[in-house]
Parts: sequence; C-alpha cells; structure tokens
Amino acid sequence: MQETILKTNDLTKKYSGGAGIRTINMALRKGDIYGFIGQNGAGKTTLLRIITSLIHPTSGNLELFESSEERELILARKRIGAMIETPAFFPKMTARENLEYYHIQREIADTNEIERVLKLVNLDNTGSKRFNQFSLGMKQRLGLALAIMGDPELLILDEPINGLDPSGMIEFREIISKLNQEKQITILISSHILSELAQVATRYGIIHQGKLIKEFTKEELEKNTQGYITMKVSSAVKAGEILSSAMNPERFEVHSTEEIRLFDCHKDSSKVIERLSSNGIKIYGSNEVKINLEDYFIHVIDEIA
Amino acid sequence: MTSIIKSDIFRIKKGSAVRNVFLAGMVIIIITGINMFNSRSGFGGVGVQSSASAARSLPANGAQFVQQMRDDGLFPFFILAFAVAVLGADYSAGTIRNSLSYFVDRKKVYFAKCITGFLCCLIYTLVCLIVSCIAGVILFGFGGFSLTMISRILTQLILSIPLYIGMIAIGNGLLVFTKKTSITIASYLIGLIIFPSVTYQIYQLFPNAEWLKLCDPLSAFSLLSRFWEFPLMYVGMVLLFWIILDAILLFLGMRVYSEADVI
Repeated sequence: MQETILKTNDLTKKYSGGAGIRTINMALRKGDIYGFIGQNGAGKTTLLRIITSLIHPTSGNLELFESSEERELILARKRIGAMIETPAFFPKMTARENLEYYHIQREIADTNEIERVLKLVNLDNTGSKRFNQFSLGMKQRLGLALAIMGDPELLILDEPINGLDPSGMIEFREIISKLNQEKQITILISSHILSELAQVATRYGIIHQGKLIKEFTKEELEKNTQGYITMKVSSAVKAGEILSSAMNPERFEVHSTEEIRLFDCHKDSSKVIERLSSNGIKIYGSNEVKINLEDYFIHVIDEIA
Repeated sequence: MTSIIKSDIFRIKKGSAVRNVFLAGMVIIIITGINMFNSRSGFGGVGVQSSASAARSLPANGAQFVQQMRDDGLFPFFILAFAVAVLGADYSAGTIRNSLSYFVDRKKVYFAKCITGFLCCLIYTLVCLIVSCIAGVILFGFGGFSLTMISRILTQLILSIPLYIGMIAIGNGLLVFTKKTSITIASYLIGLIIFPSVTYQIYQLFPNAEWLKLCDPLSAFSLLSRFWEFPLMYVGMVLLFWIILDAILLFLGMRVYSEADVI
C-alpha cells in the first residue's frame, strides 16, 4: 500500500463572510498527482492555505507525512514546496537574487540548486531583469522554481498554469510529469484549466461550496468520460428492444423516441448498425460524442445541485 | 532563526531603503558639522543646522561634536524605516506567504525580523558614530577624546538597547496589526507626536514621578544621550518603562503574527 503523504480530518474553515471549507476529508498518497477542481470561491485555495499553514482551520486537523502533532508538523511542512496564488517576490530583485534569498533562508546546502531550478523552468537567461519587469508567465515559472527548490517531497501548486502561453503550458506539464516520475514527488495541483489538469493528474477531487463532493482516479475518469455514440433511428423504443436481447442493457440508453445512445460500443458499432438494420430499424445518422473533464465536472456539479 | 536574519540582511544589502537611511544619517551629521563650523567662523548655517543644531552650543572640540551628534532627534523616525524594510517588505511584496508556508514556527520568524531590525539600529548607530568622529576630528580637532567620553558613549549605546528594541517592536507591531506599510507609517508618526501627551497626562496623575515626562521616545533618546546629567532614578525608571513596554509589544506582536491568517 502506498504511503499516505497528506490526510485531512474534518478540516473546516469558516470566514466571517461565509465562504470557506466544510469537513474536508481527503488523502494524498505518495506519487499521486492530485488535481483539485472547483469553481471560483469553492474553497480550493483555502484548503491549500491550511495545508501550508498560511491560515488556521476553525476545526479539524491534518496529518502530513504521518505527523499530526504541532512540533512534528513544523518539521513536516519543510518537506513541502508551495506556490499559492500569484507568485510573490521582491520586485526590485532579479530571479537569481530572489531565489538566493530563499536559498539562504531555507539553509539549502547545494550551491548549484538555484541554477538547477532556474534551468528547469527556463529562467536561467533572465540576467539582470528584475522581477517587476517579468511577464505573468515568467512570474509563474519563478514561483514554480521556488516551490521545487530544495527537492520537496510534496509540491502544492495553486493555479500554476495561469498566465502561461501554450508552449509554457506544455513545458509545465513536462516538468510536473518529470518531477513526479523521476523524483517521486507527490503533487497537489489546483487549476481552472481542466484540459491541462486532465493531462497530468492521476487522481482528482472536486470541491464545491466548501465541500469535497467527489474523488476519483484517472482510470475512473477515463471510464466516465469515454463518451458514447448517439444514433438517430426511426424508433428508439423498438431499437432498444432489439438491442436488449443482444447486449447488456447498461451499454445503451433510449434517450428519446428517435435517439438511442450506445456506451462502450466504439469498436463494435458496425455490428449494432447491422443488427438494427436487419430488424427494420432505419438509421438516419450517428455521431460520436466525447466527454472531457470539464463536461464531467459540470455533470457532477449539476448532480449535486 | 539565524538563516532568516542572514537572508534579510542579504535582501537589505540588495535594496536601497536601509542604505538610504544610513546615507541620510551620515549626510545630516556632515551638513550639521559643516554648518556648525561655519557658524563658528561667523558665516552662519542653513538647512539641517537651523532646525537640528541651532539650539546646540557650538562644539569646542571633536569629542563634543561626537557627543552632540549622539543626541539625534531624527533616529526614532529612522527606526521605522528599518522595521518597514525588514518586515513591511514581506507584507507589501506578498513574500510573507513564501516564508510562512515554509517556516511554520512563526514566533521564530517574528523574532528574527525584530533582531534584524535591531541589528540595523545598531549598525546605523555605529556608522553615525564613526562618521561623527571623522567629521568632528576634521572640523573641530582631536581635543576632548578621553576614556570617560568613550565609556559614556558605550554605556549610552548599551542603555539605548531597550529603546531600539521597543521602537522596532512598535514598528513591527503596527505592521502586523495593519498589514499595510502606509497605515503603519502614518500611525507611527502620529504615535510619536501623541506619545509625549500621553506620558504627560499620566504624569499629571502621578506628579511625583517626573521621570514619566521622559518616557516618550524622543525624550528618552535625548535623556540617554546625556544620561549622566540626569538623576540615576530617572534613567532607571525610563529604562524600566521601556523594558516593560518591549516585553508587552513583543508579546502582542508575536501573538498576532503567529495567529493571523495570511491571505
């Protein structure tokens, strides 16, 4: 069984304004890339802030690297690299100087660490350019560089793709995958760009109105988002009767009087067409409908609503 | 904690805020010295001399000039710049998130920031002392430097420590409460103006405790720069007042810093 890196127990944060999180129970296992999904104000950043101790929970607790006692948590949190919201650095210092500040502060022994992380995020050629002259994408990269400095075991990234251009997004995805696969770094990542998240995450959690409403694995997501074939037929009810004798009823759905939906039939759809035609059902057209993470997210939210 | 102090010193060296305060301190000493020198030869002085040193008697020698420069009425104002440069920068740049997500023991972070601010005060004092020595010797000659004078300056430096800590604690405390540099600066300046009125009002309640009138930062700095001219009890009570104030301010600042949500 994989080691649990992070576990939250009924974590709750109440703000005077009302938002926050409510009794969140989640677990992160070693090697996970956990995609955290939610609408604006759903509570994603609040949870990430609690994990990084920037804010204190109203109730509940968390375990980090199997430590829950306060003194142990202080040490455990040093094994985390985090980038919460827009990266913040000293505006008049260069990328190197900013990282040097944290290099000294965190007593990182490796003298090549700054160069290594700057190279990794492609900021090694910024020279004397100050942080306040950086583009949003460069700022995001520097934030990522700081988060990965010192080889953390858990990486927490809040909206890290914001502001990145398409090539930046690809690079980011590659860095994340590399860190996860080569260094076994566990990653907790929240993002609005679900298409990007879908390409890197191995587990997902959907947070809605402060509650963690669903957790699923990459495999479960694939299963739930494999899409379906929709067919416009002369009589969907009759087509359903014909198909029920030949296949599992879970694999099709009579959607309306003229529409039937076929699930998990991408490979043998021609057989279905043949069977329906030979039984006198006219097929006016068929379409493959694909579902992505965004559709699935909306579907889950709608179910709750 | 040492690493936090080291990193802040690294940042201060890279920035210009603290360096500018140091430069301002040095320039004021040099201008005041030149103006005093000109006044002696009948030319009179302008600028800083007119406000800061007109009331002072003309120094007879270099040592007297050094002693007069120790009574630096601007220093309490400068201390805020150190607090703002060390802790305020973290709030204004938002870098507090980077530090506190790693260093969860916030008490340590807060103390480290206070120590860095205090170190800035000490270095500023030493730099000003060296500059005033050089300027004093050049302008007014070697005379007056004695063991008594050196020991007085050293004692005065040591006695000023609670005040340095207190002023840094006030600056940091205000930053922690307001989280805004601009509000902190405004409150601090208003505080410096109001403080003497408050201590005076307290003195009205306890008319026998005349030392109460000397507890505000400006009077306390002035008292400590000429501590040997005041009754020992006054010096002791002012120091005790500041030591108690330091403890309260550090405790409150640390508590708020530790428990506040960083949003």
